[in-house]
Amino acid sequence: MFKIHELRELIKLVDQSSIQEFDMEHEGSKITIKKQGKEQIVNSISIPQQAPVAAPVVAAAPKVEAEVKASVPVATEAPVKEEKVIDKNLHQIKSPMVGTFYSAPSPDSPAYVKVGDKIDEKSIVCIVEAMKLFNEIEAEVKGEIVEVLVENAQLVEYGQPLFLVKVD
Amino acid sequence: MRDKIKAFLLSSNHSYVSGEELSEKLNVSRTAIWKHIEELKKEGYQIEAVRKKGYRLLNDPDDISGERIKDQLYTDWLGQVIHYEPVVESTQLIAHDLAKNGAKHGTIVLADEQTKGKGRLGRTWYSASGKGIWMSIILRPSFGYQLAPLVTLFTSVVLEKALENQFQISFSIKWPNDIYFQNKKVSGILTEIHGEQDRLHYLIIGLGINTHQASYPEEIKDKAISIEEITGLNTKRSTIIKDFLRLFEASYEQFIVEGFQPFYEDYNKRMMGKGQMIEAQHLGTNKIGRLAGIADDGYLLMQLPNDEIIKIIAGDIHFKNK
Repeated sequence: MFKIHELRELIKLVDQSSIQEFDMEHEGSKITIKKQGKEQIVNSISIPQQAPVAAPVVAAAPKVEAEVKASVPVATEAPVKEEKVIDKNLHQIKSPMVGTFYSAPSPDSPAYVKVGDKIDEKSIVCIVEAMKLFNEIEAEVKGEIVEVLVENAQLVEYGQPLFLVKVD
Repeated sequence: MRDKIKAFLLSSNHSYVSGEELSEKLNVSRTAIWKHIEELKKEGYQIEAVRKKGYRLLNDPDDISGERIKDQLYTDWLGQVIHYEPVVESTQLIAHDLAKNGAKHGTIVLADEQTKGKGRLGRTWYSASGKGIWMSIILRPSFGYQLAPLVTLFTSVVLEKALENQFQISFSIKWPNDIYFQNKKVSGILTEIHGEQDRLHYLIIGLGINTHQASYPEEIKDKAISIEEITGLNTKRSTIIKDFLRLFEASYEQFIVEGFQPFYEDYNKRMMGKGQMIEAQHLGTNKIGRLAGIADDGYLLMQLPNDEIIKIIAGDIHFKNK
């Protein structure tokens, strides 16, 4: 069985490459990733109903449609989340890893950033922790925080949007 | 220059070395030699100066400066660059600065004392002068975000094995990566990464190892223990550091190729409190359940009262009824 994070990685790699179609078989599971026309639009992604495993990553990889067939039916691990309507003019700061989201450096400190704060590329916006590995996430863009999309101490997935930023 | 004089004295086997000889071999004045000797005394070297005979080293202090650690270290890349300072705020902060300025993979930062040793989420780590190993390791990993969290578990297995080999005593690992002896903490490991959305620039592993403490601040006195307290041995920090660095380098080569899998059993075997009731954070709420072990990906498995198994990804675990 492919793991969700492996699928995400694969989709991302294919998306960033010039490959149009990608097939892989591994331990009884088969995955096919096909790229559609370059101009396809973000919000019209559908996840095939017949697929026993659905990867909710498609929002992060707009030009790719994933179709996964597994020989062993397995309960869907991550349910497809309702897609938020996200203003495409806003930049999303995403989590590079699975972990717990912390809005502040310590429980008694104020949050790194709040809505309305001006940030630049090097501003630390939050910490994501997994197994005592701490990742101070930098904004990587200059602008203003428009929305904080997650709660303190919430579990975040790989690629999950954490903040919306209006870029200067 | 001071390191050269130090090396000279150390290789003299505690016999007299004349100031004249030192000044000729090192091509500096005898006054300069004298000044360096005074500096060495401040580092803890007891040096006797006898007219017409020269200088004689009386002791061999537990010196963790770069030259002493590199001497007979036998590693290829780990600890080949060492940044040592007697007193720092935190070795992690220095390591971040060095890494941002291009420090090489395997660079280490060592200090005798930390005034603000870094613990998780704003906590401090008690780091008294000369009483422990306060060290940060800078790695520039070839792997990505997937494998990075497992470095923390991997490091704890390597440290436990290095200590076990050295002292012939078994320690246990409290998930994710604290080293315990019975119910007291010997070592804590905190790892920080820096990168962009899709690329990891560097990883810094911070280790605090209680080696020689005999007294602690009130708030940790029932929770901490040092190697000297456990073994009764006054083993040099430099010996422990070198053993650990050698084993870490060899194991890391395997880790980057094969991942955590080869270390999984070793970790599991040493894991503290399996089967016991614990409390931990899960999706923002506290859960109580039985510690069932770890999953392949390193996450802690907790068995809830209804037998459901959940994965704990971050935070501390607390043992109940202790």
